[in-house]
Amino acid sequence: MSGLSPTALLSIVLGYLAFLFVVASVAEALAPRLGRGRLRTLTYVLAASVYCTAWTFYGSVGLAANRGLEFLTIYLGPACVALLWPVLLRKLVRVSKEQRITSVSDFISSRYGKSAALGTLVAALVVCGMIPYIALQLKAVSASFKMILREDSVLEVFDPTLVVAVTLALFGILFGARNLDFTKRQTGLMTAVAVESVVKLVAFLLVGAYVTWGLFGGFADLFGQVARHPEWSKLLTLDQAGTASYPRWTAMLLISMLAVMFLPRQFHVLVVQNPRERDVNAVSWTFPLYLLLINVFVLPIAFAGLLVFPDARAQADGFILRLPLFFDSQLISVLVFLGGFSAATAMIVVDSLALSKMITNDIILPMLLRQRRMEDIYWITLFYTRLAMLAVVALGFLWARMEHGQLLLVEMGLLSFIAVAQCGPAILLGLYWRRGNRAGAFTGISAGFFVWFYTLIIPALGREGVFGPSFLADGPFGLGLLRPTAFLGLEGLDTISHGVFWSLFFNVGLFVMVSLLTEQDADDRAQAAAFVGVAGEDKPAPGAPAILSAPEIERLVHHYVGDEDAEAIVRELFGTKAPAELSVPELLEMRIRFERLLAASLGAAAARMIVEDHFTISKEEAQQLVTSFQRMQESLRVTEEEVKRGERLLASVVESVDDCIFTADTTGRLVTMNPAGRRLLGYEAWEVSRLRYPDLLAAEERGGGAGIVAALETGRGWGGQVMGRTAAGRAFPAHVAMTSLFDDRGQRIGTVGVLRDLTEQVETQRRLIHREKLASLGEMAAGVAHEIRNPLGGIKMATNLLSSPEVDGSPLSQEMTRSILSGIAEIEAIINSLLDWTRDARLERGDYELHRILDPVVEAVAAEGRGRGVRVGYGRLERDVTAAVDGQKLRQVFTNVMKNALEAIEPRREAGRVTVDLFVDGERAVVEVADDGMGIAPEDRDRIFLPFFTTKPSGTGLGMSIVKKIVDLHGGEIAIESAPGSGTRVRISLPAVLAPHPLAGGTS
Amino acid sequence: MKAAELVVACFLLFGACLVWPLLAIANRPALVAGVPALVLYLFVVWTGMVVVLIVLARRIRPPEDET
Repeated sequence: MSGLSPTALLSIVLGYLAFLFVVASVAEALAPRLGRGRLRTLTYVLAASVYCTAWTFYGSVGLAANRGLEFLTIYLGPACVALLWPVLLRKLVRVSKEQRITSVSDFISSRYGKSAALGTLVAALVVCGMIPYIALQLKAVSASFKMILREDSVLEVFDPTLVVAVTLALFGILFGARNLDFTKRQTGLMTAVAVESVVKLVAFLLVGAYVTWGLFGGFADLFGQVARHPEWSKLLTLDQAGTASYPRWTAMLLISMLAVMFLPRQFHVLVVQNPRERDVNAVSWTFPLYLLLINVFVLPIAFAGLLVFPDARAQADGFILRLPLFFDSQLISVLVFLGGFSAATAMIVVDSLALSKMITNDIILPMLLRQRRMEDIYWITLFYTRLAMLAVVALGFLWARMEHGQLLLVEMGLLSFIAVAQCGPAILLGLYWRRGNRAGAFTGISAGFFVWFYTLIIPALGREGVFGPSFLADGPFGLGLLRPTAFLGLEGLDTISHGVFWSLFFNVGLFVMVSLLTEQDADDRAQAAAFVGVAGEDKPAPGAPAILSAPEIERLVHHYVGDEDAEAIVRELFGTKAPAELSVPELLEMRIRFERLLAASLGAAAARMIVEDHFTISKEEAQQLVTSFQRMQESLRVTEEEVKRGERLLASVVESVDDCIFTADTTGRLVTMNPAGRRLLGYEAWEVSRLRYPDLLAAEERGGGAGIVAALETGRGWGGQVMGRTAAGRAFPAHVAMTSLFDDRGQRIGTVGVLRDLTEQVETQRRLIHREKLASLGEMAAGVAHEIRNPLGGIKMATNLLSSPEVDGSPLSQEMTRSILSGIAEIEAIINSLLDWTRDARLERGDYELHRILDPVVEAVAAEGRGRGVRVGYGRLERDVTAAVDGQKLRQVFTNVMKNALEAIEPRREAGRVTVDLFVDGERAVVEVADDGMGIAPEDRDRIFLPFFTTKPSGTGLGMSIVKKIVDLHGGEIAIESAPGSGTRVRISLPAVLAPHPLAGGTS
Repeated sequence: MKAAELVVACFLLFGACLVWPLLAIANRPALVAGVPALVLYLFVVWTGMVVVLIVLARRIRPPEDET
């Protein structure tokens, strides 16, 4: 049996490590040119095979030799779950990229409301689960040293495992933890891991081929020889004594399905370092293929080992290396050694890197931030990350060296798997079940880990003799139901399937139950929505309205991200805009993006703590923020109020306008009508919607209605005079204007119309025409009167001559002449009054005490009245009433009115009475003439001031017309109150000249 | 959604092939073509999964991201 000299081994080990550094450095250097092409995809899919560790290389063979096909579950499970990857892993990748997730614990913390406590819990538990796994790798490396060395006593003097461990930690720091942002491409590291995947696969395939066809005559020969050993050939079946039972097989399939996605290194490589979403498709078939290839020769090597070393079944882990050594194939031995070494180193580097991230972001940072240690946080965090890497590797190394805890290699690996699988339910349900909440995740994961520890770690420790055997056999305090290997009396399962069942049972069960029974808070709900309903639907957390000012964001970026990348990030954040140009919503948006960027370096929980913390710190800024918010709100409120005011204004205009305003839809059916319209047309509000606008027109207009419809449909307006129609059917003159209404896109949406009642206007017009006619009649009358007066003068003179006794003294002719003269006097009176009426009236005003004008008139009329037995006199008389009037004309007015009053009484009885009142009413001088005569019929009252209207058998009918004209000229008013049969009261009011009141303190 | 249903169906189908009771069919101490029956069965199923995954990867085209 040959081997390597210590010098050769050391040079191989150091040479390989140097090779890794070169590969990583070259890849880093070429990274910008390697770009995004197929090489990147290839690196990604190969790096995913970091799944295959030293455990695969050595442990699988050992497991196959001892327990048969059971080892296959560790690879069949992942191959099977890869069937879901095109959908499941893709969603995981997309969510993680959007949220800038950096690790499993970060994912869970972020999904459940960026909870720092949950992140810490998961990180602590996963680290506890994974440290032994790393120890396992170092132990495997150490064991392989021992096997390949010619004289292994050298190892007691100097064990290169420590050198390896330290080198790997440095490698991880140099190429992984160079920068805090783990979502950035770690090209060097990923390339090195990919190269190692190739090395281990090639090594395994070569040694497999060497053993199968070099040492044996192929599969058939090998399995044929095994078949002759019943004890070994039963290893090729299941459910036998010493092989996996169906429950154990299923349990292991299940946990490896979960582990392959949620092991820290797998998550880092598959999710965090995924270059493009579509590369998920590539990895989902290459990964199962890789696993298939690396497992093809496990069974041949295991059975070849058993056939060659029949008594060394306990050392089966080393078969793969011992076989080529035994047959003196140095090259193959070195290749196998390198394969195993590469598998271990890749795992150690990636795992310690992922764990260091979890430790710093989810355990150390929240502590630091709670203590408000914010100075130089970027460098402190980076320092802790690197320290954590070293610590993880060192802990693994120490564990591997401990006297106690030397559990069987494979068993420890399996226990780590089950530990990590406890994160699975919270992540998977968190991706697809919105109700899953923080309390549920916390309870489920805690319970899962507790049960894992209780049912799996305690029995393992018990076997190591850490405590007495009674605890396992009889349960704690002798409680049989609590036995760690038969919890609640569940017997008949092996430890692994028992532990898997109970841990996942409590994990999933409590997660679901607690989620259903408790409420999500706002953060939790927002993140649930972002994770479950991913694909662009990206809602900022409600209830987080805090805004950072632009300079503050810039400062924070430099503070937390490191100056190296800060500039680029600031550019990315602000774009082309100057910080001062940013609006409040843009700042809010930026805050979310800033938190994401920060999360890429520090984890979601810490990022949230920092971003939120920075608002409470700067009071000045908070004040500014509040002020700007208030201002914004105020401006919003003003705008809203203005809009409302505008609406109210418009509504009140429509409501209060006197015209009928209505709207109709495109079919002509009315939609609204203002109150004035309903009043005018006599419709109730509820009736409006039953009408069509032609219903508003009189029947004879319906023909014209067609013209309106045609005009409206072409989009033109229509306006014109029509006959309207009320609800009662009355027709009235109206003007209609109708216009089509259009929406933003020019689509016709209806009609608005205005209908104006023209009844009054038409009436006024009629009156005007009448007045014009009267005026021309007056002119004609004046002309006629003038023309008649001249010949009448001649006639009068001649008749006077005729009546003189010198001409003809006969009594008959005397009598006739007198009659002619009285006729002539009457004609003269008519002509005079006609001329008075038409004469261009001009007032000669003077200040008169009105009683001085009234007194002679009253006296004269009273004298006339005495003759008829009518008493005429003053009633109320205020003597100092003065007005600026034309005394002559006013006398005529009073005479006319009083004579009318006197005449109204005549036909009735002797004891009539006419009363004249003179008084001041406010600023008016008022003269009232009342009689208790026969009164005026209502139908005559309006016409009494019209010329030539009279009810008397004689008279021109011009008297009252002249009265009205004179009063109007004075700016006065004349009003008549009358009730037929009980008398008439005529009230004339004129503007008074107000005498200074004696008590007003005048100058007199 | 069709893609999701398809992969879930494939997962359930192959998952069923990998556990009891279907597993019990191949679980016998016999050599088929010189290879133990169960080993051959498992590797055939495995190869089947890889083939199906290659087909799925071609059929399910994710929307172009990044590039």
